[in-house]
Parts: sequence; C-alpha cells; structure tokens
Amino acid sequence: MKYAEILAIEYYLPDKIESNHDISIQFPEWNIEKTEARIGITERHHAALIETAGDLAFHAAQKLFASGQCDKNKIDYIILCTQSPDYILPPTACILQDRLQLKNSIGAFDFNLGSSGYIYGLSIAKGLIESGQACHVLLLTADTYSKYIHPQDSSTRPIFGDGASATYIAGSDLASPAIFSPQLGTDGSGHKNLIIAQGGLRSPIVDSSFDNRNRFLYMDGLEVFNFTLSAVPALVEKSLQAVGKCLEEIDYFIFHQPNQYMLEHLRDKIGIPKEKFCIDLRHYGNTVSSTIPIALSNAIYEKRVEPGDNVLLVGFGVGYSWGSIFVSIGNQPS
Amino acid sequence: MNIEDFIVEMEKIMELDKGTLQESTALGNLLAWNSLSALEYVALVDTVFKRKVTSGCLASVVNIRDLYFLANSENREKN
Repeated sequence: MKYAEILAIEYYLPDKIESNHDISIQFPEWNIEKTEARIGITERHHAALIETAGDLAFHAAQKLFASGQCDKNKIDYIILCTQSPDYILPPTACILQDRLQLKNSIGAFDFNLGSSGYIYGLSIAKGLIESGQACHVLLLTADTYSKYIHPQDSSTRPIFGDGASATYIAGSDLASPAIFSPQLGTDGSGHKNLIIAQGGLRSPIVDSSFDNRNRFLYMDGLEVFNFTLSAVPALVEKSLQAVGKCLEEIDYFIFHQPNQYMLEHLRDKIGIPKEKFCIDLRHYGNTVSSTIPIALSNAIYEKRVEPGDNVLLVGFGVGYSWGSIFVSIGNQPS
Repeated sequence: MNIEDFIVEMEKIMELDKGTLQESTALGNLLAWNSLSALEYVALVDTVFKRKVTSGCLASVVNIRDLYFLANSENREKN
C-alpha cells in the first residue's frame, strides 16, 4: 500500500506590504511597540485591487512546479481551500486547472474553511491517495482577507495578511504512514463570532457603502480566544492519546498562527517547550488557511524540522472549526 | 489572588506605573484598556482563576473592581 506523503511545499505572498507604521498613520492612538510585542507581527502582505485568491494560488503552484519538486503533468487532483473565491461559481479550483495547464482527467474542487483548512486538506488528500482514488494531489490554500477588512477596524487590520500555499502530496512506498491520525472538530454555535454577515444569500448586501459594517469581517476576539482556550488544549491531548504518545515524544508543533500572544498562552497552557513550538508570523500576519503550510515550509527549509520528525499540525478558527494531524517529512522509502 | 495583587497584574498588562490603578478606576478613562489588554485580562483569568470571561460579561464592566469580581465570581463557567 502507498502512504500519502508531503513531498514539497511552496508559498506565495503578494507584493504589496503594509507595515505597522503604515497602519499607525491611520490610528494615531495606536501604541506600535506594545502592539507589535503582543501580536508579533511587523508587516503583512495585501493583494492588489485586481488580485484574487485564485491569482495567489496560481503563483504558489507555479513556484512549486518551477522548483522542480513536482511534475505538473502527474497531478491528478487539485483541492483549493479558500474563503475568498474568485466567483460564487464556478469553483476557483476548476479555473486553476485551466490556468495551470493541468490535464483534464483530474478532480478539482474548492472547500470553504479558514484556519483549520490545511488540516482538512491534508486529511482529504490522504484519503484520496490511500483509498486509491488519486496518486498526486495538489493542495492549495489561498485567501485575501484584506479585502474583507474595514479600513477603520483597528483590531483585525493589524492581524490578517493575504497569502497562498501549494503542497504536493503523493503516494510513497513507506513502511508507515507519513500523514496520520487526523482529528477534526466543529462547533457551529460560535459561527457569529467570526463572520462576514452580509454578501451571502441569507443576507445579501443592500448597502455597499463603508458605513455598512455588516459587509466586512467581524471578529469577537475575546470569544474566539475563549474558544481556542477550550478547544486547542483538548485537541492536542486527544491527538496524543490517539497515537499513544506523550508531549515529549513529539518533535515539533506547528499551530495555526493567529497572533503571538495567543500562541504563547496556548503553548504555556499545554506545556510545550519553546524550542519545539513554532511562532512564525512576523512578516506575514495571520494568513488564515496558509499559516500552517507557510510555517511548515519555513521550518523544513531552516531545518527546524528534520527528516523523520513527527510534527503535530493544529488548526482552529472560523466556524468554529478545528483539527490536527501528524506529518512526517522526508521519509526514506521502505 | 487578592484584589491588590490583581491590580498590580492589571498595571503590568496595561503598562502603567505602579499605583496608577485603584479599585474605582473607570476603564472608560483608560487609554491602555483596549482589545489587546482585554485579551491579556482573559488570559490572566484563564491562568490564575481557571475561568472564562465572555465578551458579553466584559461589556458590562465599569471599573477595575468589576474586572476583579468578574474574574473571581463563583458563577463564572469553570474551565
């Protein structure tokens, strides 16, 4: 049996950068030093006016193909996680199949999740490959939350950035699984705490002026924090129990990267040693579904994750939705 | 944690000089009381009091004393 394995990850960030100084011009009461120290973000990338999540995903995939680590002619499934699709319909993944000049005999679909999306994507890719439905999966994540943020929203504007990732997952002859033990969770009762209330069919936009805050991203930061404090430590415990390991036996932890303060509090609450815990959002901000693949890619490149390491990935956010999955990178074929 | 120690912690969170805050200090008069300091307050309550504070409850708080009793209230949901 072939086991699914991550073979390569690339990411793409749009050219436009918004620094904390740029934001502070609009919010003179803002304490840059204090905010920067807490959220751990100094700058974030924003898509241009005509640049979409589909464009960002396209560039991430092109980088992956150009790296020589993935033959695009082999791709037989493309999955895109986004909450800012190019159109209501058709799926952006279908458009990307054409733009990337991938063969026609492939599966393609979008799915709408935020910060848990990469975990779901890996879980789906694993299922497709290990059930024999696909051999070479291109998992894309892309979002342009900057377009959803009201320019006067001083609480979300410093946090979120735009970005995309492309992960190549294929079946390998391995002695044991390299993507394993997905744990997923959902609590839709919290959906109103992180929401764009208007723009869907339940509540169409009737007033497209800036005065209508309901067409922009709303986040009740305290409630979202409360949710993570309840869900994430329990998720980590459940994940460890599922594989019969203790915290000390895990080589590295990569959580979704919402902000530094929240990550440090979660790390201390769970008891993860600093050196095993990834905080990597200084130059990107919270890129939603792309934070984990960006952090994982950097961790591999900087050798914080070595071949054969057991890495626990943990995603949580909008929905509420959460999930975890173990990955092991750079394994030797059996 | 008694209220005196709690006030010291809140002064650290808001980066205020020691002795700045009193039990009666109104949050509405504090520039340093913002979404970030509220987040840190919730984290403090989680760590020290092992409780959750909802944004609805926090919205009704007027002064530092209220913050302390909100954190220390027996009827808050326990973690």
